[in-house]
Amino acid sequence: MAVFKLRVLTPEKIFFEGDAEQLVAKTTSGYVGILKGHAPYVASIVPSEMKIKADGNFRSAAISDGIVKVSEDSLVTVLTSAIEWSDEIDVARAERSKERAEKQLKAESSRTEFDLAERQLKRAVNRISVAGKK
Amino acid sequence: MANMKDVKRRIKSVESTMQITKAMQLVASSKMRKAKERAEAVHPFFEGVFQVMADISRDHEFTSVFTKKKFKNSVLLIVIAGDRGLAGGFNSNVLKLAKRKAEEITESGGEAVIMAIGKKAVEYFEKREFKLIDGFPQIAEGIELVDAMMIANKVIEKFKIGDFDAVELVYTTFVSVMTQEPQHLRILPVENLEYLGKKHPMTIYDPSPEEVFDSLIPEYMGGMLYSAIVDSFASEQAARRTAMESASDNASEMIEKLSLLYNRARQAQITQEITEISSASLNDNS
Repeated sequence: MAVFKLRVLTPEKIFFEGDAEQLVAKTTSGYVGILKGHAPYVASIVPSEMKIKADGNFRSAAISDGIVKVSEDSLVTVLTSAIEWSDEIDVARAERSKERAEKQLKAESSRTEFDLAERQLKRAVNRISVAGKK
Repeated sequence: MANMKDVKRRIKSVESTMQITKAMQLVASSKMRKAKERAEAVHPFFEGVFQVMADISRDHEFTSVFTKKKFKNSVLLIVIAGDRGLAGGFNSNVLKLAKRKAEEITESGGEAVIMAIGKKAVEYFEKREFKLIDGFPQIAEGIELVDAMMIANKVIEKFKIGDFDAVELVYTTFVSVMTQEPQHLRILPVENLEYLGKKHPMTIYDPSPEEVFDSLIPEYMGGMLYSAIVDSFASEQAARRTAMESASDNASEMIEKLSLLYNRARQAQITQEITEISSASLNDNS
């Protein structure tokens, strides 16, 4: 299968860099699949499962908010604040984060705090659901 | 003539001080190296984010609350300093710059609101007549991205509802091992986005350029804050390393001088004893 250059960047490190055959990510308007030769494209990614196909195999990862960009030279870049391979997710930590977020949601808090907690909950639930997937 | 016992005691005390400064120097230089690596790792991500934002603002006519230039009534200054002292002029340089910027804002009729990161920054602004809305002591060393994102989200929410019209950052940037410079940077509203690179009018934005732009703001702010905090931490360690290096040098110089003094005193004492003995024996013979 034809390959394209893919880079997945976080502020802490380069998460993935190399040739990929396909990228599946969930944007604000649903799942999109990106193959070689995709038109220039920029979309926001929501907390979800992201799959990268390289060397014939899919590998899945839990991604938090981010952005995917296909530039004219067919270089695909994913920018995100947090991403983890499904087999490296610390489920216990995600559970704790979920509990904290739920507690925060129940507390009578300001709208801002409510929004922050809701987003935290979404990320935690996403990590728990992606964990262990191949 | 110096008292031998006193001199000896002083040498001992300088020696033990030197041991401490040497150890601090070593610790600082290893921490500095780690922090520098982390600071450098942010660059590719940040450039990516900034490029997308620049592309959008260049290719599209759009409006966002995050780019609108407003009259500066109220400005949030995010001040990043260290958690500890003994780092030469590191803390005082950056805090002095922050104070000057805050005064400039006040003088031009605006209000300066401070958010302090680092224990020294919190302590400094608590004592002064500025409005301190939030303080985050002791987070720089083990900072993770989520911490920076949390602060960034707080700032963004407050900016959206109009608590302040601009957000500026005061921190220290790592130039080299020997030089670290205090910096002042405007981060919101986003500026200098125009005229970067050539146009890509064919790019599809999903769902719209505006929404993509606004969704990038937290990443932009979080990345910016994270990199500034790590950069400042690397600078702090470099400053401490330099300070401790010169302290160790001074200590060894002092030990040298004191040893000389000690040896002179010892020699003088021996000479005196010999004189005493020989004059005594002369007296016996006569």
